[in-house]
Amino acid sequence: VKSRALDLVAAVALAAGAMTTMLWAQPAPGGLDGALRIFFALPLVLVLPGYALTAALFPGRSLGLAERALFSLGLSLAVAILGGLALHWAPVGLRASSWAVLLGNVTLLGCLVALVRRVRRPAEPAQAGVVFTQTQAVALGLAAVIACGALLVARDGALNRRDPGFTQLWVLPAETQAGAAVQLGVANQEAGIVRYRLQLQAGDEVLSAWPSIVLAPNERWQEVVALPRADREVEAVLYRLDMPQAPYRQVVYQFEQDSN
Amino acid sequence: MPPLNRPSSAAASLRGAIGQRLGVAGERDAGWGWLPALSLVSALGLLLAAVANSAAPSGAPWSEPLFWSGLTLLFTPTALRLLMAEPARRERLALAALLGCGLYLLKLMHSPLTFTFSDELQHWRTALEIQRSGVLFRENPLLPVSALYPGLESVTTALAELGGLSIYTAGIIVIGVGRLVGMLGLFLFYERVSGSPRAAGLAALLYTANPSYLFFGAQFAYESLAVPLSVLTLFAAARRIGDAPGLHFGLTASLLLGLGAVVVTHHLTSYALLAFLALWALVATFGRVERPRPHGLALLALAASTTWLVYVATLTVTYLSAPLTGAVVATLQLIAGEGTARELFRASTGDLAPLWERGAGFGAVALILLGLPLGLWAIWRGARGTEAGRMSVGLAVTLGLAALGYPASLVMRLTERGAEISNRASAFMFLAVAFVLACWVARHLPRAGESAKWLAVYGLCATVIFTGGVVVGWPPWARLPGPYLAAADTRSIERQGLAAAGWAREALGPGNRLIADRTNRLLMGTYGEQRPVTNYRDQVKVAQVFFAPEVGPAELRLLRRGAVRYVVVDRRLSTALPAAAVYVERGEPNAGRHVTPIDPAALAKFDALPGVSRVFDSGDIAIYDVGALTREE
Repeated sequence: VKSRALDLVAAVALAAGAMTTMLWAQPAPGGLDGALRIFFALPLVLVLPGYALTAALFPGRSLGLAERALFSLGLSLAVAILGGLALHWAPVGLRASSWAVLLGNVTLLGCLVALVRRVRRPAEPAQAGVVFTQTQAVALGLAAVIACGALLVARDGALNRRDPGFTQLWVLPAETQAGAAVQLGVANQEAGIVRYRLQLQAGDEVLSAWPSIVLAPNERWQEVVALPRADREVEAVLYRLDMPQAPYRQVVYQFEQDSN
Repeated sequence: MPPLNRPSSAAASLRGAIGQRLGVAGERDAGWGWLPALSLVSALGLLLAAVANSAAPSGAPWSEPLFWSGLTLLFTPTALRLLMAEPARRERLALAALLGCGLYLLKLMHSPLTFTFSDELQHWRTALEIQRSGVLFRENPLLPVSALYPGLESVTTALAELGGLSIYTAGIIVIGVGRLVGMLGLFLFYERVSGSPRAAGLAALLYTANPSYLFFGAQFAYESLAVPLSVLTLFAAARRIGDAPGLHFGLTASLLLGLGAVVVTHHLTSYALLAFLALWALVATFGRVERPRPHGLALLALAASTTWLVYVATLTVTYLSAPLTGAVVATLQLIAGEGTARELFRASTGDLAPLWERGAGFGAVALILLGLPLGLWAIWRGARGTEAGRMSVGLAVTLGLAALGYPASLVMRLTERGAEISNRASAFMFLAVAFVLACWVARHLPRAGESAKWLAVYGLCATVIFTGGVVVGWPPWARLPGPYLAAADTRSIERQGLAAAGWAREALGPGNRLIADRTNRLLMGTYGEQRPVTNYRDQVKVAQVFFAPEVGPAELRLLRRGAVRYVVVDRRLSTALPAAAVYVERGEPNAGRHVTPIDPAALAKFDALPGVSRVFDSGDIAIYDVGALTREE
């Protein structure tokens, strides 16, 4: 029985390990726990339920390797899709723990049925596995490495893509103990360090001014400015010190007038 | 019609008649043949495509030829090998899977960091809602119907939750597994129907030439997962025919699971599957050739689809009826001479596709139209053959009949509204078209002596059909990443829009009702976690607010009806015509027929509006707070 159920034992061990990890390990992306979660999550969602169901539904050697692979992957997807419906209607909802219990138990149950059905059947010759010669394995491995390299090249290209730079300027209402205020913000998304000049004005009157705000790329500046009086409209104008002639960004906030 | 009135006991002997004719003889189940070498060639093709994708954003003129070179390296050597008589079954199967996965990787290279296709962003929102709430069917303002078919997002969030992965990473893994299931399923299904691994490999190869396959069918969207699941269901159904009764329970359970998953995942795929099963049942009724008959399965598919439609997804009716009716009416008007045909290969920006692309597009259609009658004749001959065989006659005839829909789908392509429907239908139509064409090739090549000349001819034809599919299926500007283009879906998604959406999420908080153009609507609805108001969802003609020269009473009424708090304006829209036909949404003034860009003054009208605050400005994108105008008194 042992030799005829090795695959099922492995599936049960993986499902049990997955359930244990998901229910007790705290998610910590990047850490060991994170790697462990990925290691268990991939088979638990994409392979194990379908594999166990396939083993339970087709206990003999009637399915070829490709058919078994197809049903294992395809039924795993189907179980997760229909299982999602079941979890939606259950009080637990679609959470990591409920997914782990559902998919883990489908796997365990499938393996149990498969084991019972296998044991009842007469022994059958083992199916030929997937075997490659050394040269073939090297070529396939090299192809996999090149394909991964290709993905990295594309990823690198996307990461280093040079879109035109820009600067964000915003104004939002804020509250201070002194009364009305606005929150001003500047974010530098340009290619290099930029020196800005910012002024807040109401009509022609300058309420506040910041003659030099120096921001490195991806750096932002924010400040809450209390207003001396309840102006109906305030305007923030941002200049680049290397192009001081014209306003670079302008934002406006119009306070609603109290109807009373 | 072939005579299908043979007794069911003779079905097994019939199956394979075509199999032998199609070249089963001489095939042996040994060795991997050229698989390792072709894997290397395919990997090099991917590398070329990766360099092209990497260089395209900087406008390198050689990136497009390099992309096509990589694509050709992926497809043509595999096609040539699959045309040959020598490969064993396992090599053919592995090559089909290799091609499917290679083409999927090529799509990934287009957007290797995050989702950038508009449909992907819409489905991402559904997944985010599920992840946040822990329940299905939460409203998705970007694509309401997506929330009612949550199969893809259900699996994706399961993987994301369990593995601590992002929705993007989990999504591309799930679609990748779906792609593998699809190719394995296609090969095994075709093999079951034809009885020939050679025909199966060729049919799977030709299926990848459908216009949807390379990009649309590989994106993070419900159809990309539903189609492979429907293929799995069809294979399980086909596998039941004439097999040992001991397998029937397992196969029936498998196809029920597959059918259920398809119904929950995608409306159109479940209806296409239902239509195919109904046609198969009809053929089986008149032909009486196969057992178990598919009638029960067809009825079950009808019951499942109808139940889901009535009790869960009634919105599907309005979602599908408008474009389908529009396409059919436009086609009928064209046939009656009351409408004008759209100019093929002419983009909405006025650009005409290069000559070679037009040649490939027309060439592909011509080759398919030429091959269909030949393939149908091959099926006819196979079905009438007296040799004991392994062909599933009823299924083969059903596929043959389904392929006759292809010319009709081409007519729709001549209308503005039908072109998209035709493209979408190709994922289903090619299931039949690819089989019929493969039947002809697998029948003719052995008779032509397997000569190098004919291999080259068929290899060239397959490459033209594949190239034509890519050309027809995806516009030139969308095949590679590149500099910003106005209203161009994937090409409009860049740092400034992403940063504006990120700012909205942080500074404004989630869930604000806003209006925006088609690109910023997607970004605000996903990265920004905002609640975009649309004509489709809210019956508010949002586009009118953008196109109007000033905010008059009508525009004010629209803003108030939509309870709009913010207006997102992208000034770049006034610099170019919309590559994707519309700036804001379907139904906008001059949709698909813009001859001048949107008026800059129309976009700037909010600047001078009393009570309106321009709270955000990043140069091209401004966000206006119009709450004072729309707030209820």
